[in-house]
Amino acid sequence: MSTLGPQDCEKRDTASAYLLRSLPENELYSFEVHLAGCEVCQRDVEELASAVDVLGISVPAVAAPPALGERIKAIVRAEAELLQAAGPQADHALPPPPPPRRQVRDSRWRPRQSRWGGLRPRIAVAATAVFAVLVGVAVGSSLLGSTTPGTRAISADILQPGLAQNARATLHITGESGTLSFADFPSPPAGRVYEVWLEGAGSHPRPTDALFSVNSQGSGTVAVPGSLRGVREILVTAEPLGGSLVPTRSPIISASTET
Amino acid sequence: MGRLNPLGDHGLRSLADEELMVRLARGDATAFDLIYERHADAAFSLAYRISGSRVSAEEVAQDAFLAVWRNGARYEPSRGSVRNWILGIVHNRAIDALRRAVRHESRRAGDEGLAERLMAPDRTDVEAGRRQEAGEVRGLLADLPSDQRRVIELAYFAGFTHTQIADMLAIPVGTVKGRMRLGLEKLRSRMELSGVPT
Repeated sequence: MSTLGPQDCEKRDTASAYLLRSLPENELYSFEVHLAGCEVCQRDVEELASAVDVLGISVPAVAAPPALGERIKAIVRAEAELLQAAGPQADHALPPPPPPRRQVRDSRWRPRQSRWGGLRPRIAVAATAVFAVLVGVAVGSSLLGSTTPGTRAISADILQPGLAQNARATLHITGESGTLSFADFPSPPAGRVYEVWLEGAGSHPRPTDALFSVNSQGSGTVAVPGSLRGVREILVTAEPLGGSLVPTRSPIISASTET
Repeated sequence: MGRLNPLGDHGLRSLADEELMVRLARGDATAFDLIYERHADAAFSLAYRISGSRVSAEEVAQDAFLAVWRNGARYEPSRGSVRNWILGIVHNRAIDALRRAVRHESRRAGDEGLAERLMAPDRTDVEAGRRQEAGEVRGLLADLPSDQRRVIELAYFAGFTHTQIADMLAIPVGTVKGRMRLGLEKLRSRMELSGVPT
């Protein structure tokens, strides 16, 4: 095996696959961890991003249907009015997130969450009754493996087996309320936080204000906001700090309420 | 909150995308309308190219433009043009939708026929210029070695992972990644030589 110099990295080819979004989820996670600390790969991502960007404009032109524009603009106008009604505070984005655990030294590097349009629910500030985004972490719980009378414990499916060995997640349902508990679970990638999503029959996942992490032992609990009535699946994804309104990653776990 | 558009609609139309994004980030719906009008066709075209269905393309485009509206503050001019930022969001949404649907076999639309039937009109000189630029990029892409172009197109437009591509082409994953890198490096180099903005 050859020795790599300071200007090379054995994962350089992976940077291109990363830019083209062709990394499987389990490999994506590990590469992003690597990328955060590898200047060689950061430089490749920075330099080759322009080549990927132009792919999007190479397609034959197709006119957007007029009705689509009318629909989108109507939604935007309604939300703009909501912002106005919420007052001056609605003009301000959510407080900036804390710095990631591992700072990227090259400020030119384009973090994945920016390139992919990582989401911060600014509209949520106006609709505080709906989205009061907060970080809810309750660590050190011993819910796993224990149940109280009237509580169902459902093992969640780990959808990314490469994420961590022995990782476990359990959904506890009492009446129409739910709590997720975690054991031996990895922390979210740098610059990301776990977010809980609710999915009903035939509907897209709905975001919740449940943003959380786990403690250094990999354990923690988070309450599932609201009622579970009509909810068939509870999902968790790793989202940019501040959370997202639309999932930017595939789910890490999935728990069925009907199991 | 004060009046958002003291410039009026006519004044707003003279603003560059980057200036409109500043206003959009403050909740200016008129600025969003202009951004939409400037980039809707490009966004829809890409969504259609990837999804192969008008219904899916509309869903993707709507999802993407609402993300632009709700997250306009995240746009940073130093990291590229507004158009590329929007197309990046469209691409991500389209690939996500594609992978959820797992309909690779039934969604391919013939690009040439599609272009004839649904070609967006050249409403302005700017749009005609964009179409010319798109043609130039297609030419650069077509000039790549076929094995490199193939893996790039399978990944970017069809949403396949490198392991899926390796299985389809019966080549090692490392070869797929290597071809991707070589192809992107050549494309970038040729963009610089031909004057396509990078």
